[in-house]
Amino acid sequence: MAKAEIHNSIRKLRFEHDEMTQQQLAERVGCSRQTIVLLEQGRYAPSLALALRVAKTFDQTVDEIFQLRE
Amino acid sequence: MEATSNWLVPVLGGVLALGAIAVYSAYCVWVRRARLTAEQRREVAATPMPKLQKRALWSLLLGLITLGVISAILTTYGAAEYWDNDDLRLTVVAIFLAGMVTHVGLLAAMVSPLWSEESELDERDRQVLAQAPAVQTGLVLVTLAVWNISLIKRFHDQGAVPMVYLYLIFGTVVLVSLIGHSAGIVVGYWMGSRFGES
Repeated sequence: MAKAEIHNSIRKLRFEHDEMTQQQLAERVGCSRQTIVLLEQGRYAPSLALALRVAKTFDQTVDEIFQLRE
Repeated sequence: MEATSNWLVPVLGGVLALGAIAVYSAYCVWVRRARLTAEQRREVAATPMPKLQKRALWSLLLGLITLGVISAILTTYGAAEYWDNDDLRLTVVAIFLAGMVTHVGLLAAMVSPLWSEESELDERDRQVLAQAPAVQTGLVLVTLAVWNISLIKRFHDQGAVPMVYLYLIFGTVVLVSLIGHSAGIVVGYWMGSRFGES
C-alpha cells in the first residue's frame, strides 16, 4: 500500500494567531519544539490526541488542519 | 578440533545472519524512505534537543567510558589476576556500579513510571524509546556471540572455561545492554532528524 502523506496548515495558523512561536505551541499542546518542527514539515504523523490538542488550540476541527494526500 | 567446528559454524552463521539483516534493514531505510531536505534538516538542527536525547547522549558517553576503563583494567591485569586480587575486583565492581547508577540517574529515572509520575516525555520521545530495544538487543546478541566464539577458541583444549568468565560475561552484557539502550535512543533521534517519522 502506498504511504500516505499528512499535510497540515499549522505554520499558517500559528502566524494567524498572533505569530505564536513553535515553542509556545509546543507548551500548549504538551510536546517538544522538535516535534512541532517535524509536524509542520509534514514529516511526523501525530497521534489522534496530539492532533485534537492542536485543533483545540486553534479552535478548528482536526480535518480542517490535517489533510491526507495519497 | 571437530567439536570446535561444530559450535563455530552455527554461531558464526548466526552472527553473519544477524549482521546481514541489520545491513539490509539500514539499506532499505536509506534507499526507500524519503529524506528531509537540507533546509528541513537545518530547521530541525536549530531546535534544542529534547531532554531525553541529551540524557541519552550523556548516558552513552559515560557508558562507553565505563566499559573502556573496565576493559583496559582487565586487559592490563588479566582475568586470573581479577579473580585472585580482591582490591582489583572491588575496584572493577565499584566502576561497574558507578556506571549503573549513572545510567539510572540519567535515563531510567526519566523514563520509568516508578519515579516520574508526571512524565516529561512527549509522544515522539515515547516512539523513540519504544524502538530503542532493537539496537539494544542486537548489541547484546553480538556481545554474547563474541564471548562465545572467543572462549571456545581460547579454552577448547582445556575442555572447560574458568568461572571468572561467568562474572565477566554477566558484567559485559549488563553494561552493553545499558549502552545499547542509550545508543538506540540516540539512533532514533538521528533517524528522526534525517527522515522524519511519517
